[in-house]
Amino acid sequence: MTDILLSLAINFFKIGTFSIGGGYAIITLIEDLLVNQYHWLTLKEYTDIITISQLTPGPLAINSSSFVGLKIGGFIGAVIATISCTISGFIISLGGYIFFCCHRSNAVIMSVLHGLKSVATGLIGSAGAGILLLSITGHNELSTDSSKFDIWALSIAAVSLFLLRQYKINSVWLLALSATIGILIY
Amino acid sequence: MQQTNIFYRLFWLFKANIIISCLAVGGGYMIIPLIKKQFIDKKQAFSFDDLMEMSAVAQSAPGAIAINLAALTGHKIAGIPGAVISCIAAILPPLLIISAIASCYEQFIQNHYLNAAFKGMLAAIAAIIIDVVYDMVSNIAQNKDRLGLIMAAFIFAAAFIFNINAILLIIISLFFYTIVFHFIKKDKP
Repeated sequence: MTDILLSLAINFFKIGTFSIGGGYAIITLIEDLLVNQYHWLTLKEYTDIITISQLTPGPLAINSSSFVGLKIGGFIGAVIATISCTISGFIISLGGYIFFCCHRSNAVIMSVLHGLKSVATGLIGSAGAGILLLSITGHNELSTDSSKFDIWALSIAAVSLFLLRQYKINSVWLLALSATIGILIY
Repeated sequence: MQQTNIFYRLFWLFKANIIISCLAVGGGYMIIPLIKKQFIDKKQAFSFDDLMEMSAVAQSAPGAIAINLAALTGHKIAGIPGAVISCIAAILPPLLIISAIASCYEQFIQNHYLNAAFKGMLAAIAAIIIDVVYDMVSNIAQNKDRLGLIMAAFIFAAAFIFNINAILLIIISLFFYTIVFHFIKKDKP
């Protein structure tokens, strides 16, 4: 049992450390390690987890570590895998932010932080556009295939954006509302 | 917020992060608008500019942006204990939900109503993220940072249209910024 927990800890630490950039970039990284190398998951289970992690709250890395940990080492395994997966991001982002805050007077370091702000804006914008594309076409890459074009989803997105910008509507209400509309039309 | 008792702040962080984490459906990026709502709009705990700096660091560090950002906002409010409490609160909901549905997940993901509800929500999630990106772009524009705007547009195109790896983009733009800064400094002694 201890060697299982240890191996969970090491491998999820690896996933946590090498998954930079977030989102869908890390899907193949997790697949390589968990499906191809360790056979902790079948490919079917893994694609199911990707679906689950969209339907439930929480990032993919956390959801897969909880699921695999539970399967291999019970609830303790889930806790260990999840903590191992988050620890390096926790330390590095905290260290990085404290470093930036300590060097507010250093112009070069501040310009780097400035640059990172633009990078984050671009990447988050790209993630948002990807989600929009996924909701109106069914896949999250640009393509000319317009057979699955979903006018309902586009309308929900457009109305939501209008409500958010114009009336600053609470996102919780917006989620509840769009879920209800989803049930009614699909 | 910063003037209140440390135990109150830790308790508030725990509560706020549980709520945020439960609502962060459809990937980690939902956390930025949710944090804006809880920390900035409701409590004025820090500025939007602070949130942008923290998001930039959380995005560039390894690991899930949702967890990293929870740690950074927690640290801002209540130091290292705040960061730890926030992280735990951010991890708990997904951990417990996955543990609860792991044995019956196939029925769960095949449930028609759940999928229909999610399809509706996904469109709203896209709108919520685009809304906060709009705020981020206006923040860069307000700082009269023309280079930053061009950079953000370039990164968007590179990531969205050309599918270029995020790590590569982060490294390239860091180099670019240090070099540009070097020349600007030479121009204006």
